[in-house]
Amino acid sequence: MKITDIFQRRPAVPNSAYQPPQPDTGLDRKLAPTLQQRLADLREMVGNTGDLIVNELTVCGIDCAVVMCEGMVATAVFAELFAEPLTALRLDQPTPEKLLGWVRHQSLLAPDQKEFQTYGDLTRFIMSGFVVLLAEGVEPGLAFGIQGYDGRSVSEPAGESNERGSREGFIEKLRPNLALVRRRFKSADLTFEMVNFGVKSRTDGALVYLRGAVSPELLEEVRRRLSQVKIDVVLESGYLQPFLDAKPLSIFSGVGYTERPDTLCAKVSEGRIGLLVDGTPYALVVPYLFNEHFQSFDDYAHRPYFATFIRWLKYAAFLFSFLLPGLYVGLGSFHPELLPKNLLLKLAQSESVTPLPLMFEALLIFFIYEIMREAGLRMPKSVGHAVSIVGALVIGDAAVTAGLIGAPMVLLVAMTAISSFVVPSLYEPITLLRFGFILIGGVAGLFGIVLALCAVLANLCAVNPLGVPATSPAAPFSLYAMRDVLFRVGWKTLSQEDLRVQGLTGSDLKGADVDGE
Amino acid sequence: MENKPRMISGTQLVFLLLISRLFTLFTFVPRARTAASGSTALLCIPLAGAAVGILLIPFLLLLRRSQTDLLSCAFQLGSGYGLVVSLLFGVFCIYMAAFTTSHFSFFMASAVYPNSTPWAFLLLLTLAAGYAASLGLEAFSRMSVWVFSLLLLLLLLFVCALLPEVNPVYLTSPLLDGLPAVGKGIFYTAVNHAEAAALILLLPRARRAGGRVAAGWLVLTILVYELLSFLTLTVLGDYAKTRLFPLHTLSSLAQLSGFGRLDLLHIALWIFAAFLRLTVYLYCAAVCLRRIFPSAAFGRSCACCAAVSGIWSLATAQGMQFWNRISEQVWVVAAPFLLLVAAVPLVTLLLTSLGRNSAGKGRIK
Repeated sequence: MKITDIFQRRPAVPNSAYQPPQPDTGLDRKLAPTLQQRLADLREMVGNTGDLIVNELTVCGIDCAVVMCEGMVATAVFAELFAEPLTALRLDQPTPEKLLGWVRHQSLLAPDQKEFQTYGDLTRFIMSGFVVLLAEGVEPGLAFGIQGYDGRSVSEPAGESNERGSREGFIEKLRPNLALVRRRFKSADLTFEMVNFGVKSRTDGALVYLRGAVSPELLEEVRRRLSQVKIDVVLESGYLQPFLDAKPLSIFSGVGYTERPDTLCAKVSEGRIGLLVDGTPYALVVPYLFNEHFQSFDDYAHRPYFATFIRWLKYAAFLFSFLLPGLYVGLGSFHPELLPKNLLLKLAQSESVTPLPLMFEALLIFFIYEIMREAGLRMPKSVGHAVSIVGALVIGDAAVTAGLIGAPMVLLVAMTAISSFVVPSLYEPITLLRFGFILIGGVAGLFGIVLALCAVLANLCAVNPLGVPATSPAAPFSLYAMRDVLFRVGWKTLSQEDLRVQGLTGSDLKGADVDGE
Repeated sequence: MENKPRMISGTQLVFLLLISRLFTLFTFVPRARTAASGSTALLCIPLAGAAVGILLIPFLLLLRRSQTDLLSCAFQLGSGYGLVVSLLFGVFCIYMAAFTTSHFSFFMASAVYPNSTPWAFLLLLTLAAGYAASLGLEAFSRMSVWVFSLLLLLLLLFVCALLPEVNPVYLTSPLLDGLPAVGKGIFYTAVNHAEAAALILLLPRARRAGGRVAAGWLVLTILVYELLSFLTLTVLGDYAKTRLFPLHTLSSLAQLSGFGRLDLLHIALWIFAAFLRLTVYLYCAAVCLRRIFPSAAFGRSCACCAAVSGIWSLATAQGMQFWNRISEQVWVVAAPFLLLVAAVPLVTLLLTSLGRNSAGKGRIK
């Protein structure tokens, strides 16, 4: 072994217990020439699953089969638009070619009508709720989009409520989500690029972008990264997020999400790319800058001075939410001389009766708080209220009365907990950082807190989602783009020039993401 | 995407080197310092800055001609020469990293946490800086923008809080000790601009023209140094000479009614500065190491440099005798500075020019 070998990256050791996802073989196989063979192949491929409906019928003397998945087709529409015209069809000297010609050019059995040649497409259409028509002697299969499965209707987004904007949020179904975006953006440049994820689940998805605004390099890179997704089952857009993130191990993500179609439209108009995935009421947005966590749709409806005030409030709340407990523990344990005298006396008085050191007190109470939050989130709503009451009584009253926890600590937890919900999209990093800062504050005091802050800042500054610095436009600094960061200028100024993410200072969509030398 | 390192802005590099340079002012220990003090320092600071600017001219000319970094130029002249230059810069950077860590942990153990040993600070600081260096130049150069904002805030609060305390009676003529003292002061102050070596390594990664970045760094450094030195001199007077860390004393005195004491902010800025300075030198050392071992992974190079620097500072931080002895030996500080900032770029420039001329003549023949 050479001395230089210690610097080399070691190759990953394969583990026999895990195998990379293998694509289904036979999906690219062409449809068999005879109808019966096609149906037999199909039944074999899907394991004769119970929800497969195959109706064999004769149309103008030609053997046909109508195939669909139970519960995924709008039966009324199917009967009226599809079954009735097809069964009533009378062709003069019928041949398979004439039947195909009639379907192609003389009828409109469904608004979304497609032809396919392979078994892969056949199963995909059926599983997506299409009605498939297979006919003897007709080479391609015909798919008709008359899906009608049940689902949640469009409702107010739970996580991104606002005062003045639209009350519509994305739902789980992909097509209505596309319509929600299209309704707000009638530009011919708005493009939905249909994609497919999951080797086995083959979940539908759509890339949303605005031609002319999006950078071709950015689009190409997103396509490249998504093509690398080799997961068996994709049930949620979060499965895809690590593939879009340049540094998946970073505390902060360069991929944002929104459940508001209007927010997605705004992002897309700035040259970003949205990703909608069937089954997820959220759209992923790339590249996502750090300051966007502090922007909300209401900012653009309110007067600029108020929007600016709210934004500063959010910045302060963010800092409070992860820094305040650690700072309190650090200053209280190591540097009490830095606190104002009156405050110090009050704190000392209340902490003198508690048995635990400040750090353990803070860790304990935040641990209990996180347990209660998690329980409240997962339990049925009716039980959730009971958890809240018990929590308030236990933490707010009993623990203080019993002398286990000081009253200032309870106040701190309340302030911190409320502050962390001001920027909900940052809740994950806030929670982890809060615990980290309490620990380091209790062990190393102010020195540890500032040093940890340095590491967190460096971590944040290293995030370059798809070549755009996440800390832009603050660092690298771009004065013009700051008009919507530290303060929100009026619409007359905002509308003078459109922002493009690829035009921000420091953006280098062709550069390498991982900085080496 | 192309596999080329991403560029940073010239402003970021200016801020980064400014904050890194300021660390020296924070750790100014009057008894150990050989540079000019008092009113003489106020005159020496700008003149020393100008001297450093002149010393950097060969490097800037080389950069303009070759459009590549010094280490690459050295390797183009010969792999042996390239290795020697990389080794010299690498050792200097590790030495500066160890110097930074030792001084910082000494300050922390003596002024902020009087009852503690320096090794804990040293370990934590080296770990954090090593991690930041492994994230790449972009990460910590962007961070310098935030730290610069904090510096501006601190300066503003300092000026507001200390302006009523300023006593011009402490200002004497800078020439009171004679011209030799001024000359000595300029020399000492100039050779303490160790960041010039980091500038040589990092400047090719900046988007803006090299000369403007170097000038911006020197001018800003002079301004901030002058301001803080002026405040220290006119507020503390001769009392500053008796203090281990005069700037820390100054921050303890600075009080604004609404903000209370400013030493909290000052300590925070100091930690930021130490962190950034150490990160800069560890990064530069890792860059040099990778030139010597091109196949080395960058993260591991950073870890290796951090480990060496950490061990060095761990061995020397207690008591600070090693560093005090070095500070007293001016040529120990001056020789590497002059070698790396002036001599190596000048020799490389001359060799490159000679090589080009001979190649050109060869073509004519």
